[in-house]
Amino acid sequence: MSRKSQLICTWTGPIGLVLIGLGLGSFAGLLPPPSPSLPADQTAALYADNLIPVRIGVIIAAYGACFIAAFYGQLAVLIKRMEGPRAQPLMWTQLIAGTLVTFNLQLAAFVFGVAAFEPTRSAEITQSLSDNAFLLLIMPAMPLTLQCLATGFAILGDRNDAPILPRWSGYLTLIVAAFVAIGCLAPMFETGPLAWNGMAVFWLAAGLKAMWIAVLAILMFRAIPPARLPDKNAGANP
Amino acid sequence: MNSRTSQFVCTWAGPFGFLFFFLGMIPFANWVPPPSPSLSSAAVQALYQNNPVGIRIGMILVCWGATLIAAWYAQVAVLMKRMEGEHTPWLYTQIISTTILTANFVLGAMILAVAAFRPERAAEITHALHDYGWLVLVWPGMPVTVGTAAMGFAIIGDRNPEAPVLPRWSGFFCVWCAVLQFGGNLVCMFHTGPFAWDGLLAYWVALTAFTAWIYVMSFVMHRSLKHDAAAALS
Repeated sequence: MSRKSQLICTWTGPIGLVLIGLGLGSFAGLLPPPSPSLPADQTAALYADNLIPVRIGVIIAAYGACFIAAFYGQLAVLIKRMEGPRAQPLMWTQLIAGTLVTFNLQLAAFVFGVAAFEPTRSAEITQSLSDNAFLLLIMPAMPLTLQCLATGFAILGDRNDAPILPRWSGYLTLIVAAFVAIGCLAPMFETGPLAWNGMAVFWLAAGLKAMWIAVLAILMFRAIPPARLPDKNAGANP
Repeated sequence: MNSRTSQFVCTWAGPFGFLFFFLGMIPFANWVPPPSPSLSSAAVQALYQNNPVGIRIGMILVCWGATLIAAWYAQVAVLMKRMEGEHTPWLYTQIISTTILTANFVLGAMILAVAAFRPERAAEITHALHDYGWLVLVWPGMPVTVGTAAMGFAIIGDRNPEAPVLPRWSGFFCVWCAVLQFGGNLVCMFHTGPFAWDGLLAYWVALTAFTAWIYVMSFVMHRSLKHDAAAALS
């Protein structure tokens, strides 16, 4: 059961990413994001012209966000093995920061849904809700950076003779941490590379995060102990 | 406080938190049954102008209730750790998704309190905040499904088959409750009908399943603790 559970929980990461892309991108048409400098009536039209697809899309995306919770759970299982049995500060940091990342992502999907809930209200209110949702989607670089730092340091500080995840993935995670931190500047700019639809903030930071989950998932599949080896813990809990 | 007392306290924090939730929702906010999503802006504004203090107190109680349920989820995590043994992916999944669920409840109630904070503002803005709060409060079927299913899978896959921590049927009960709460997922699609936030499936069935789940699981968890206590004495 444990091996099967671990496989399922690893798969939820890539599946969650696909659901988020499908929901917010293909259905809602909100990815890549529209410009923050769009006037209120055009922002409101993004929702009013596309009401049902936006609503279906945000439900799918919220599911995607919550599926990734299980992926972070499996990441915690591996970090615990890296840190050893005595104390796991980095595992708990990763878990709490990952919870905040997931919550922000799910809430962003919900607020997109709120913006699409009542198409007849005045455009300025819809624009406020839309701004709220895009900032929730792009801005939470703080928990994401912390999560990547905890994961990166755990991989580099692995106490096992045969490391659970390869060392280069630790450096990769730290590089991702440095780049995703840019996302926190999203509320400062309406245009340019640092706006929420900009080259640096959206394409580099959000793109790197998606790539990180995909690469990590592949490595995590290889880190799950194979089924044919007897689990040394089997029967340890009579 | 020894560990067993802590575990009993955390087990009953869930049903106790639910009482706070109902106290806030029924006598104070007067929101059972919930206001219809198809109300006009003026009617929504009137809700807040007629009962601003009751709604504010009610939402404080709902926030307390949701937060107390966090302790119940922590006790669920303690039991899940014993079920899963050394590698505990479902346990961590449950911790993350139920924290998100709790955060949604607290945030939803706080946004409704924001709506009640200035009842004299333009009706349309209060209406938007009212929609925002109700959607965040009723919608989170996703973390509920993932968290409840994780708990169910851990119970069904218990590594102590001769003496499971919780009975196997309660695992299937968890999975069924996860299914019954699905109606909540669609609240952003409808203003009327069974899937609207005041509808049969989104509100009444989902809320009943959630309440039944917390109370039934609390009794099962209580019995498991008492059984352990008896085993420790003998």
